[in-house]
Amino acid sequence: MSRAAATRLGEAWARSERMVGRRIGDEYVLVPLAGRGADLDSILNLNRVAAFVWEQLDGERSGGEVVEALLERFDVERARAEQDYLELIDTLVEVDAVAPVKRRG
Amino acid sequence: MVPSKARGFVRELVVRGSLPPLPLGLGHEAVLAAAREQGLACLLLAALERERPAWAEAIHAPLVAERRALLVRTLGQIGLAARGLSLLAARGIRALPLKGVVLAETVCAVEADRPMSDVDLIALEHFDEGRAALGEAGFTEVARGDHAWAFRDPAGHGILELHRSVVSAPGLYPLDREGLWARRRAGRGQLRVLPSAEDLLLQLALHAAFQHGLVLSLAQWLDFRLVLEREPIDVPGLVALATAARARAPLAAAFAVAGAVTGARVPSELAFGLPRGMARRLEPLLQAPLGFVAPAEAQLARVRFELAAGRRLELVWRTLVLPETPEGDARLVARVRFAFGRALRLARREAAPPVQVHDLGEPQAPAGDGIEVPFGEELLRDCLAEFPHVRLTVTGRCMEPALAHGEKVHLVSAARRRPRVGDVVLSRQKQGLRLHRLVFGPPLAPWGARWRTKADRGLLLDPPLVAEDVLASIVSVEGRPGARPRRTLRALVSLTRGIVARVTGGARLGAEAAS
Repeated sequence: MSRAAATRLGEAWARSERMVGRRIGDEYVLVPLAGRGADLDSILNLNRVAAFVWEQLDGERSGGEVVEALLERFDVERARAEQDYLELIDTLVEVDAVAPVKRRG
Repeated sequence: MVPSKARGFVRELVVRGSLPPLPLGLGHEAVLAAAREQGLACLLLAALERERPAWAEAIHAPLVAERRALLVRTLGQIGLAARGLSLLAARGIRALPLKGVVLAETVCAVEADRPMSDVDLIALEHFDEGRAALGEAGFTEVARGDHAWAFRDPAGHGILELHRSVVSAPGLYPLDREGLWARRRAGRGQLRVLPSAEDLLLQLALHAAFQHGLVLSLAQWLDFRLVLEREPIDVPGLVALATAARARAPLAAAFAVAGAVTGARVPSELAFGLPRGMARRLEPLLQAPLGFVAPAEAQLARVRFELAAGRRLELVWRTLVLPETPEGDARLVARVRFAFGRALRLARREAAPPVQVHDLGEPQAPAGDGIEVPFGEELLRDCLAEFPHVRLTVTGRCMEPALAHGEKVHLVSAARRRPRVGDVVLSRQKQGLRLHRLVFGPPLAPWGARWRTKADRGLLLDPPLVAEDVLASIVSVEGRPGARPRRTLRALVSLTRGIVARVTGGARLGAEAAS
């Protein structure tokens, strides 16, 4: 793992209050409230793993801790879990769905 | 049109909590249409996902798409209510959300389960300041009713109704404003504050009985059952609240119907207080619960009269004499003077002044044949039920000279004013909603017969309609006080021309086929 990736795994992220996650039937969707009414075009569909990660983003747990939880819950290799986690965080940052809280070294 | 068999199927789903057997001859599309009409698309989808019946494969994908859209829309509407509450709170005005938004955030597993046409807030004080606060925040007033004003959200297309009373006869069922506030609870989602479950049930009952004459969509009747099943209800407390609000009768009536329609287990304490005459009338009707499900026709005036047993003079007084005149004059003399004029207008069946009108806006599309309804039928139905008049803009020239393109007309729901031959009515046609003249219907049509409409300048009759397809009739045309929308003779001439056109057209076609 690169140093940059390791640093990023030390960060904690919090779900934005302007983004609501809901499990509806077989799917899990993120709906941006955007403060001015929701927008049908910008909802995100999360798979099971992504939905699990989303629910862990409480502003307390670091990326490393979330990855540990992923490893406990799903049958996946650490490297793959870390990569998936970081990619998901990038996607969520792009749509302002999460915000960094603090660094834990 | 949704066949009643499909509505019955969806009701059965509500009662059983699982899919009933699909009746012979009932197609999946009719089931889908009924579920949508009744606000239960998500309930149907949940059942389909659990049970996976083969007949429903074709409607699964559209329902999934609809559920996502409903989720987005409902979250937006709850956000609108939350913004309204914040604006009022910033002025120091205590306010609470009512009905749909509260249910969506409390008893529904997901907000999408509780579609609604608009959101409702009640200001517990300083109603005028509350209106001003919304106006300053860019909300546009679109309607004034006796109990609520409606505003359009500047940021979207949502409608927010600011109430000063739960029902449209303020004071008839007195609100314990301090008690409402003291019993409030914290919200778990976007709404920071919610009414207590008992207050919510009382408000739902008043709304169902007094505002809607005990005819609601299945989703609205299901609200009662969900609150009873999913909230810890202090039943003696609820009875005490209803007693204090002099609302035992509407509470008992609404729960009697909710029990019959949805199979809700209603605590026996809630059944008391129904006036004897009303109980006698309801008893046989409860055996056919679909009679209480929209679009069944509500007997609004009769239900209100029955509910007000022993208080009928007060009902008349509270209905006519508002807390203030439309100009804001709260003096008794001014209120009584306004009430007197209002009573005269009602007696003459003239249009009420424009302040009574729920304005659904300008046409947003080029002139077509009929009218354009920007907010769709669901909102229109809701407005017709909630407000004495709804205002629409005519597009198209098919009703000239009776109605010109661009003219604004005032409509009254079929429940409040029974359409008669000669009226220009708003009806649900295959192509959408249309404003055409009723040329065959009451009092000419026998009970149960199909009604017919026709554009004044059209050649042919529209397809036959059932009574429920006629939503409202025009009572006045703005700017033309002398206009008389009901033209019985013109309707009969138009009917004759339509029949002649059909016969001669049919003969011509027959001749062409023969040649």
